[in-house]
Amino acid sequence: MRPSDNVRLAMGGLLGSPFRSFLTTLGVTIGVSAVIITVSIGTGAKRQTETQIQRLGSNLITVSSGYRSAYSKITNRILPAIEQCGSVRQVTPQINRSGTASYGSNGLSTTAIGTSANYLEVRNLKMARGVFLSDADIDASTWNCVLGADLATELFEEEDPLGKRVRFDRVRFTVVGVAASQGDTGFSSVDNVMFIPYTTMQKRLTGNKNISTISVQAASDKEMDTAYDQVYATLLLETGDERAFRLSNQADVLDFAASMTDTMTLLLSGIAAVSLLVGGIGIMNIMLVSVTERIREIGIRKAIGAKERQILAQFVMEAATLSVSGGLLGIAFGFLGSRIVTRVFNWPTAVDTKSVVLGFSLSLAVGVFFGAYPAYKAAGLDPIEGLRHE
Amino acid sequence: MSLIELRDVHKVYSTGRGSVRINALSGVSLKVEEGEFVSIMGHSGSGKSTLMNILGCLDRPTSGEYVLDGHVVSRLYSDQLADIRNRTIGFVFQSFNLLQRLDAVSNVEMPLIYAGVAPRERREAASRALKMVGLGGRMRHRPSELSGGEQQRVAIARALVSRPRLVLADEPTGNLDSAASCEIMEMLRELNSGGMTVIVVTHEPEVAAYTPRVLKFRDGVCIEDGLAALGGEPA
Repeated sequence: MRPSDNVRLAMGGLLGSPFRSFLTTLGVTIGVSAVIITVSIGTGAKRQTETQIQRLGSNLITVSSGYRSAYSKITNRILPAIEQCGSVRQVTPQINRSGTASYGSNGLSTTAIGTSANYLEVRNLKMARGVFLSDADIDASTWNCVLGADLATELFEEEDPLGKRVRFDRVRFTVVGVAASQGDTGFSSVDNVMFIPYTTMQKRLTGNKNISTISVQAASDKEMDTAYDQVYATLLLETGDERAFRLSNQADVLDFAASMTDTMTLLLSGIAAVSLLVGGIGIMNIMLVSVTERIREIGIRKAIGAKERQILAQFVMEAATLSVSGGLLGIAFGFLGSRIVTRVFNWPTAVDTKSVVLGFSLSLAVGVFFGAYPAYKAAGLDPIEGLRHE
Repeated sequence: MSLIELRDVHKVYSTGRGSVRINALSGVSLKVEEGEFVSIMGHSGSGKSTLMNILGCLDRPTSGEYVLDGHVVSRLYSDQLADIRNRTIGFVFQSFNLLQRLDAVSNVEMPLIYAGVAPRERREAASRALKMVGLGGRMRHRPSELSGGEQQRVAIARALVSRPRLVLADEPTGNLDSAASCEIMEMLRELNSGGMTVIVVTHEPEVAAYTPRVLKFRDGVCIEDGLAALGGEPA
């Protein structure tokens, strides 16, 4: 018997009752589309977090104080010590203070970030106009400032902010630059802040040498772990107290985000697996009914020379065809469904070729597995009984 | 060498977990030569259907030997039996046993599918067979669109499409009126005159009258083996 005849036989059997075949495939269709949609949501979320975190700057380690500011041991003194570490490329301090920025009659509550010149490079910030703070600004504690993109448009509207004087609480700053919009990073956007020299911040606003966070950039991706250890050792040496500081690694944040989406994907895949199982049982059920209905056909086929394995192949093929057509339908619905998820819930989705292959092979496996028993029953049928059957 | 040779064939059915034993055939020995036209007669329960199943390789004897065309059938595997059914034997049944959802030509070509014949060739062979039984114009009709006599002719076409040595007809006229019965028997006679061995199982003497040799069965044994025992030529 030819393989093409096997396929033709199976198709013939299924098209004999098309509506029933369609209903039978629904379980597998739902299962496969669930697999595709959940994996696409998982992949989409993972990619989004990755780009968000990458946008914050690459190879970052963040140091913050373990105590409240009154007891903080993270001060200017720490900066050069960390900078000395072999696997560290550069560091930038960050001191945050919230207040009100105003220009003319426009006032907005905002955050001032006191930082150094290399913040631009470490945190991957781009300038839209003007320049960022320079080392000279830091050394001389000047009154220059750089505005975040949103803050600039809201304060100045149509006006050109460069060279204008902006008030932060009671202190006046001169605008030397406007940062490019960073977009939604999902964490803290710096589009709504103003940057000032950290030295000015310490002298005029906070009145102490504390630093809120230090961003440390490792020399390379491979040296992240070494850099982390070196920074840890340095901090321990400088402060003499391991509770005085907190260290977080960008890779940790990434891993955490990834593990969260992985857990979610796993959970949803579990649901998908259950619906595939139910779909498979549905196929087995219908195939058993089909075998019972077609006892006479099986008898006839055997009488005119069909071998047991040919009958087996016919029914396994039928089950597989059912299941795979359900799977293909499911893949189509999966594509459609992930589009809808993106459109309606505004979640990023990315349909993975891997999940399409997975969905297809799962449906094939379900069909063959759950079709095997009915097919085995059909193949073992006694032809005389089949011919006698009414 | 005979085409068919049965040597002391017994068939015992046990039902009710083996407590009840029914002797369907109790020691049948007979020979059928190539090219013969034979009918097997008997009332229901005489063992003629059991004999038919054994002759058709659908069943194996409990004891004794069945030699078909030199093969000792009782020793073959089920796959080999399927091959013999496919190549050596053509079946015609009382209730036609056509697949309802297939048209005439697809029903006829079915044995060739299992013989592994290519689609175009087998379609040609099937149309040729349908033309031979006078249904050249009905190839695309489904069984439900054909009369009983026509359905039986489709079944005959299916039986002869693989050019078997032996055609087994089990009550081929049982569901037909006398005119159609006559047609079918004439057709079987024609096949026989073309060289095929034809065996007809029946309980009607009019049908048996077509065949030169009649075997009568009762209670699982052959009680009469007569050449034209019922009086030769049919009316």
